[in-house]
Amino acid sequence: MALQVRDLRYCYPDGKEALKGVTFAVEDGECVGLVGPNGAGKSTLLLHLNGLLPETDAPSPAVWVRGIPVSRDRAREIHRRVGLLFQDPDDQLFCPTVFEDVAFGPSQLGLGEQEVKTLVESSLRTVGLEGFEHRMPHHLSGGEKRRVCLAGVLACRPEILVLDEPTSDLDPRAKRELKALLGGLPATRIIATHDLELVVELCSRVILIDEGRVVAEGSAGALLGDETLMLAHGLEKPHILRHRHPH
Amino acid sequence: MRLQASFHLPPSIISRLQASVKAAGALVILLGIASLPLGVPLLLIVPVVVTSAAALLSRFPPVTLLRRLLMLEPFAVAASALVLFRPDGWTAFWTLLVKSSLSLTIVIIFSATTPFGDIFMLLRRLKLPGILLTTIALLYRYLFVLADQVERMRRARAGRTFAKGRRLAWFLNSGVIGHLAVRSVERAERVYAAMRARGWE
Repeated sequence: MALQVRDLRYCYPDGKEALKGVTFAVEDGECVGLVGPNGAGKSTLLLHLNGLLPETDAPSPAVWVRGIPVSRDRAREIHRRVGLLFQDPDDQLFCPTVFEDVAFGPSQLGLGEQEVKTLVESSLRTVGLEGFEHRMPHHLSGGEKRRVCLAGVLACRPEILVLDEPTSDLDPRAKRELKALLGGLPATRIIATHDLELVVELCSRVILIDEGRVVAEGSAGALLGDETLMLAHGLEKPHILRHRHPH
Repeated sequence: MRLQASFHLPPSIISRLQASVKAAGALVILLGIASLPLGVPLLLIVPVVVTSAAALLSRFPPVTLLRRLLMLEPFAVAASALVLFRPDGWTAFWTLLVKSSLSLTIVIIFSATTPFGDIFMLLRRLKLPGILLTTIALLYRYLFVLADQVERMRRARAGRTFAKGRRLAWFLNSGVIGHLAVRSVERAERVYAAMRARGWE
């Protein structure tokens, strides 16, 4: 079992209840889509999977990564095992150059200079950005920024990839390229997104979240194809499922 | 407001020099300028020639150089004004003003001909404290993001502003600054989370 979430609850400091008992599990090598309307609690949930939330340890753990309970004192190990891709690349690309940004994670892991360099090169090659080492994040296009972010996450060699809206703000070509890239990665992937076409293409299973609860869970085709369910939770049946059969 | 990164100047002898050589050269010139006595304006010819040569060699467009210098000039004037209380006040003031302007010109030429990455690596080699280096790197990185954000907010407001007037402009600008402060704090939190997610402690 790659990841297990059991009765996860979270209240923001202002008292807003964001997660009201979320339970699900993800098997090794699975690609799971996390869908739901704005404000459903998707991003908050993702921050828990990497141990960034809660700020202080809960009385009993609610998230297990490969059997390890997520807690403050295991934070370092959890961060390494679970790579998190943030929604806004400008939040994630905080270094002056692409090289330094991709090297940020590996350098924290105490690897040698040469090893870090090799890792940065191979990660940039994986995302198709060889030779971008000395570029400045400010000069990259949206798609390139997103791929550098992904390279920075991959450079930490995570077992589980957690992606928050990976295709938002991308043009169709950048979206297609990123989709192909994500589809070819061997890691266990959890993708929170409104891009339901992406979910249909990449994810074997979908979890629908609304108002801090898991509302439904099932195969992408069955769950996203249920128009009544989709409309009830602020989503739409994706076009790719509407036009799959000839009329 | 559109921020530009430093290396948009055409390649020149100076831009091709190593950052450490340039920094050492700039430091020597700055120390030379600083050590000149205040009361002897004629001596200023030497640094004026050296600085002009540096400006020419760097292929800095004169108007751009002057514009950048003018932006910093209020600080030079304010600092120089302090010597007006001396008996030879005016001579000392003008000498000091020229000295500080020349020093600023040297700094502008150095920073414009050296990519930030090189300056940063130099600071790292000089073993500056890590926390200071991180702060400088983050400051430089987010300066551009913030400038873009200000521009977007300013445009969005301008697009819905139909009246003219200085009072209204002040009111709107103060709103932009306030919003920017709040958004920056939120962004800082997200950046910190992103740093922690990749092992920062």
